[in-house]
Amino acid sequence: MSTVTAPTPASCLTAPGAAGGSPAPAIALPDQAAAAPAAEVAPAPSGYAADEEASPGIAVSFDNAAIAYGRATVLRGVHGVLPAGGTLALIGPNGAGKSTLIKAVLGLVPVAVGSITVLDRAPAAARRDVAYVPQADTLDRDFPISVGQIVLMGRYRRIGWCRRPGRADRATALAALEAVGLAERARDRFGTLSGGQRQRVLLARAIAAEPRLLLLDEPFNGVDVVSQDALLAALATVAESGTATVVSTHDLALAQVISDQVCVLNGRQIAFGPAAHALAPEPLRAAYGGAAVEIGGQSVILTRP
Amino acid sequence: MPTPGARPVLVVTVAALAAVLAGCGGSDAGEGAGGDGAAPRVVATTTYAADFARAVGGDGVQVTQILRPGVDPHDYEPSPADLEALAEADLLIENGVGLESWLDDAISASGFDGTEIVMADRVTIRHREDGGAEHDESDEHGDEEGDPHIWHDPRNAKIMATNIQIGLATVDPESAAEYQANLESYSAELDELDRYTEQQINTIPSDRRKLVTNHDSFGYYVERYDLEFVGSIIPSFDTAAELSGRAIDDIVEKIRSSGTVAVFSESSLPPRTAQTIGSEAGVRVVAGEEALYADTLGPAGSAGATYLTAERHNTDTIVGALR
Amino acid sequence: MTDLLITPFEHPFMTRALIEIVILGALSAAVGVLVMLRRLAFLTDALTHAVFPGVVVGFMIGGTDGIVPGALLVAGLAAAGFTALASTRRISEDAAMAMLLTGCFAVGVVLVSRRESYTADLTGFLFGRLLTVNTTDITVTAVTAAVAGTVLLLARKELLLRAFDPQGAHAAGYPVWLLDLVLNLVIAMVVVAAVRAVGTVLVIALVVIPAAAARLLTGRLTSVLVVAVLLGPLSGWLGLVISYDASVHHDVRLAAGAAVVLVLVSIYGLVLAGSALRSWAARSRAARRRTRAGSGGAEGPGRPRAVGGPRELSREAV
Repeated sequence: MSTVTAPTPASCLTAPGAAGGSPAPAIALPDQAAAAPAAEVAPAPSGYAADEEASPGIAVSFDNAAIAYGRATVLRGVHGVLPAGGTLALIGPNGAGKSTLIKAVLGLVPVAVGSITVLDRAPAAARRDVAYVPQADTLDRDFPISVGQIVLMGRYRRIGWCRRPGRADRATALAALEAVGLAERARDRFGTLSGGQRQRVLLARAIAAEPRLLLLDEPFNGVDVVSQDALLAALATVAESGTATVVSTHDLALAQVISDQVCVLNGRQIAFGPAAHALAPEPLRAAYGGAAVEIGGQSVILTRP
Repeated sequence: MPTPGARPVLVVTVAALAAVLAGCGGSDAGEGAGGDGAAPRVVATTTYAADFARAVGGDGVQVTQILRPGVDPHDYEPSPADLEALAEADLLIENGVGLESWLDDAISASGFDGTEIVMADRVTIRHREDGGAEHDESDEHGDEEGDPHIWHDPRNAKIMATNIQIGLATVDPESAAEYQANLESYSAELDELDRYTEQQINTIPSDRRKLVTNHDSFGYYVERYDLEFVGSIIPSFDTAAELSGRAIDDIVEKIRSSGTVAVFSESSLPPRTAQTIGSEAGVRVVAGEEALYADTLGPAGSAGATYLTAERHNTDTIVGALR
Repeated sequence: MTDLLITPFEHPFMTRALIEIVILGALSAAVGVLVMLRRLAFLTDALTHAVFPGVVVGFMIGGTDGIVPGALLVAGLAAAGFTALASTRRISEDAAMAMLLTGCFAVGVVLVSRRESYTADLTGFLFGRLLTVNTTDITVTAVTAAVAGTVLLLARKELLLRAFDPQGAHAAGYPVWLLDLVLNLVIAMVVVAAVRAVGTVLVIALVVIPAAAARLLTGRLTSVLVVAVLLGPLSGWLGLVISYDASVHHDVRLAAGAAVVLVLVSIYGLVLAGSALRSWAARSRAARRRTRAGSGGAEGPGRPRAVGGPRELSREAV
């Protein structure tokens, strides 16, 4: 049975804002993030120049999109809009198609039916302005590479073939590292960091690319509390600078905290809209197969231990 | 992995290696012959070349032999010592007829600039009896290709020794008379060998004078002493050609139909194939201590330490088995 | 002792061998770092077997001058083939590579065995003839090093990204198949350049060992590269010296190419022993610290140095 709880031992989740009696949520709320050590975080670099207004446009538009591997359709009926600067959470059990959808937005898998438009272009054409954050444990911990070198990789596309990174690139990379709170670890080997810290480095790499759209594949999986706070803080500053974000996650509470809109998937789109609407018991039940319960007006997911 | 710790390990590694080398570095081997600056430095490729060179050159000549006894001359990689010897040599004695395919590269690498003597000069070279069809078109050696085992006919050995004498006289004219004298006494011994062999072979009943050897190395011997060459186990002048199934059947058939009584193996090749074919055909296999000296002489103290004793051994063995 | 390290090279043939093995050693080691990062040792080995028929056919058609073009052609085809193979899902990649490499090798043996001077040619191809390299061979090696080196230098950031995070490289829009093909072709070029000197069997050692030893010594990429590129030529030099000394002073035959490989393996063994000792020492230090401090926090050997934020991201590799 899929687990959809935050990394607390408790097996129920309550929506934020619950009064008294509930155990203090382990997640950091936006106002708490400011008080955390990441308070000195500089504004994250963004794809929009200082004087350029974040265009009141659309970051990603899904138009009844369906995605297939060969003959088998793995995801269908994805329909909705993510405005520029907004944050979209992808929710669903394992195998629901969250990663597939992210790959489709990246242009790595073709759209079989309907279309996906990214920054007013086809997905493959928009890659210059899109940055992807994979899960940290997909990467080799023994690789002899430093944190700083990895973050600098985010600049490669901007630097282009055959050219060396310049001073400005290094400055941008450093700023991105500062945004995730790991600037002092720049010279350390990637493998010497904890899982959560490695995830933050990968986020910094994406931020260094100054994207207009940021895609994160389950960034909170197995991440410790300190790193989770840092990730949330960084994501908040990224959002402030006008970059749109798509985050897939199991964690409903986090999804509610960070995103304006939620897309609930399970082989097909079940809901797409503001959290209050999409994270209601009905859609959750449809996605998770009947394990959603309402308790005291709040939507709750129960899992077996 | 903390980097500061890495440097000491690297330093220790290199230091350890240096210490090992320090142990190796010895005084270098003695240079040249005696103190006599005029003594020619001779490099001989095969065991036969070295043996003839010592016979004709006598004590005053320093001969460096490249191929050791028992080593296959068809395939050889020159060592640094070989190349060094070549670099400093006044005279190089080689067999020719494509036997030493590795020699050209060795000569150009070492920078040899002395006199080169090819022992096969003026020797009548046998070619494959089947005629031109067998010739490989991509031969590098063109017309020189043929049977290189010229030494098994003592008359050829005389020519080879004469060529060596010419070379020595060119390089060291002062001692030419001495070399000539050595050549004459050695030629007399070669004539004696020739007579002995002919006489011995004639004691074999004529219907049993059939020879089967490991590879095509006794062509000149067979021609000189009028034996019948039934075939060889590896039908090639080269020792490592692959044996095909058909070739095995061929030779077994020939052995049976010709009434051959023995199969002879060679000192520098493993006897396994000869033994397989011998048992297949039901004939005796001559191997081990008795094996023939075909491509190379034997080590010092063995029956084949010099040309004269090796050829005698071959004759005695062949006659003993076939008679 | 310095006498031993220098005097052999008064002979021109030793000097030529030294120049060849130094260039080859440096080139192989540099490529070897990437081979290690990408775990392509088996593919490199497969390429050394696959080029063999190219070497034979080249030799049959054009003599010694024909070896390099023949080998290059087949190596290029093989590299392209292996790249394509990596993207198929139907057959297991290493099984398919094993079939291809043994098949090619067998073709080469069949071709060689039809010639008269069978074994001489065969051992030359397999083990090289380091002591008889001529200036043409050295030129070929130098040109290969220049071309391969330039390619690697220009594409180093992209090759690094692909090695570390192929999915990320793909997501960023890089043509991963093209990067892989380029690297495989560079490896093929190194194999071809090495054929004359150390032969196809030993080139794998020149490629793989320096990088492996360097990785044991350091976790920083630039350092790995520097150490590997120093170790390769150093082993070549020492191998030549040992082969010379054994032959000339001790009358022991020790083929030059094999001596180089033995030096490489010995260095690796020493480094391995050294680093095992070091981690054992670090562990026992940590254990002693723990028992002394009672239940104090465990400080592993990998503790990072937190020296206040760097003002600028350091100029490390790339």
